[in-house]
Amino acid sequence: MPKISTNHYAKILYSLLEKTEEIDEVVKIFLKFLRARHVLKKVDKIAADYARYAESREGTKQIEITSARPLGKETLANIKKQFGEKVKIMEKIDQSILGGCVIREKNIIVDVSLKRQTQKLKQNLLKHKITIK
Amino acid sequence: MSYTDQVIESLKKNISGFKKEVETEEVGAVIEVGDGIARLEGLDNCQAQEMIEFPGGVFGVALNLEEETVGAIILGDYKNIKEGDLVKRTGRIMSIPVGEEMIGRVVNTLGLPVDGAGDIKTKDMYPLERVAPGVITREPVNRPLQTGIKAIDALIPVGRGQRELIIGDRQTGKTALTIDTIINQKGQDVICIYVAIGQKESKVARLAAKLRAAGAMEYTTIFVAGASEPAPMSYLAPYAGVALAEYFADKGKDVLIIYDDLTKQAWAYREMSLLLRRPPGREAYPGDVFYLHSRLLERACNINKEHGGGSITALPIIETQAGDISAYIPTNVISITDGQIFLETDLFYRGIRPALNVGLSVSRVGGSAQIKPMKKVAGSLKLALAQFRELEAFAQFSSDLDPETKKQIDRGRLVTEILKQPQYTPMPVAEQVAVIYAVNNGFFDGTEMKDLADKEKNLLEFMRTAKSKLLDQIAGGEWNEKVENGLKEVCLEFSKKK
Repeated sequence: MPKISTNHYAKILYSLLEKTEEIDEVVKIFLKFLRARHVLKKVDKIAADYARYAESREGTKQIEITSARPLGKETLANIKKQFGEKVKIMEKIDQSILGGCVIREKNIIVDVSLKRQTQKLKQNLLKHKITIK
Repeated sequence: MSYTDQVIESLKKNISGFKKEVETEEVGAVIEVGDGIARLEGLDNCQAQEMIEFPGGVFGVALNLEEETVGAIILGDYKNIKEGDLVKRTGRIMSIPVGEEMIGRVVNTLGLPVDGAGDIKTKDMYPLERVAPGVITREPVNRPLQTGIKAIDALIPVGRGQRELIIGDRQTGKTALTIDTIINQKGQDVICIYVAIGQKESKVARLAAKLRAAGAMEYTTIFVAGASEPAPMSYLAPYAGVALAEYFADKGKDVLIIYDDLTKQAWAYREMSLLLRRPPGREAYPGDVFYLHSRLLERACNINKEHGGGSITALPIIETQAGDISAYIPTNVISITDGQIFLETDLFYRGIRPALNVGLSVSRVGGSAQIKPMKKVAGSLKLALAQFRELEAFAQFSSDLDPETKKQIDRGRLVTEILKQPQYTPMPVAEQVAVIYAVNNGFFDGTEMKDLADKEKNLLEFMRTAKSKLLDQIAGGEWNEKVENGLKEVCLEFSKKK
């Protein structure tokens, strides 16, 4: 039996679901198919790949925003505007970043947290030479 | 203003001048960590050989770029890296700090000091991997690099810009040979770099102490990738060493670099390659193990004047198992280098030290770099040795031999004996010429073998005090009837005195 990558399974599932209305039935058959090929244990990975593939096909973006405190509605709307209409926002609270926020979209991170800025300031100060007159 | 106020003022200025910057970073995640390697997902635009940053400030290098994953080596402690950790691209290719400040220091593969003598403040960075100089910039090897070892300088001469392999079993004096060579570079305007790959730290410490005692650390840098460090450090150490060598060569200086030893580097590379799941080939080495060494040794060069001069002489060391020079790595490196110095266990235990096998050792380009006096005297030395090797089998029947044969055997024995040299006593080239001249012309004939070393010492002592001008002339490469007659007179005078 040739090995098929999880990515490939995800693509197969996507092309099946595109053509049908009976989603439940198709998914059921697909899972049976996975079991027959002994790859049920990879179902998590396939689901993740499916989500990624579907996003890229439909142009939806998923972004993750980490902030120290819950963000206000206005701020969120502002950020949403930057990324276009089809955007899904996941909020995360992490107090260790102190302030500001970290925005992550897939493999790109924009770090505007207070923690990062203070780290940079520290590095800058360590490099600083003090001249005494 | 008081001292404190000035400091505060200065810091305040710095803080107020600090600009907030927003930067985007490309990240990936660890999916697997092995001994010194990691497999990552994400990092879509990662380049080959690019540095990547793991959490905790540990760096890595991306080696395998595959369809969905990136295989990377980890430079440093990999025990705290776990699955799911974020990995950042740095956009830089692997490079190390270089500068004059590195001279006299012991550093690791990343150029960080390990000798406890404080930070090294350097300005420049040089990439570990760089394409070797091309044909246009090079010129043939034409200046000698004196090793200070009689047998090598006379019979297997090494020139600046040459790559001469030192090969032999364990415990045959390979490292000792290179240490003597480093010590002999004192006052020769040569910068030495010693790269210890997979060596015992105790050996490196002993070596550094020895060099320091001989005053050789003033022009030497030692790179260490110890036996306890992960394989990627051993794999990269020679490239780090040659990056520093290139920095000096670019400034028009002559550099001597010693890789001790490339067998261990090949082992480290094999380990990494197998963990990265590259297909194994002969002796389980990956397919590009030849390229591993060829691209390193090709960076040894003799740059011509128009391109700034400067040279890198490489002395790679290869350790063989039970004298087997036809194994994979030894044959590879023999074919890459410009000759080899072959050391043998047999000779070593017979007391011939350095344990050089003169028959199997060659120098393919060094001959043209020898100074004229040495070229002249070494010719007859080679002849005497070749004749001796042929007749050696008959040596047991000495009483039945005709006088001519007996004379040749005696001369051969004498030559073999005079080429012996204790460790840490490199000899200036002019003195080598004088000694070899004396042997060739029969001034040592009839000497007992055990007295020979003393007699040699006395002759040199005599020459240094009475005829130092003659030695200077020889060192300057002068050779004519006058010099030859001068040498003859000194030897005659010396034998009369005794």
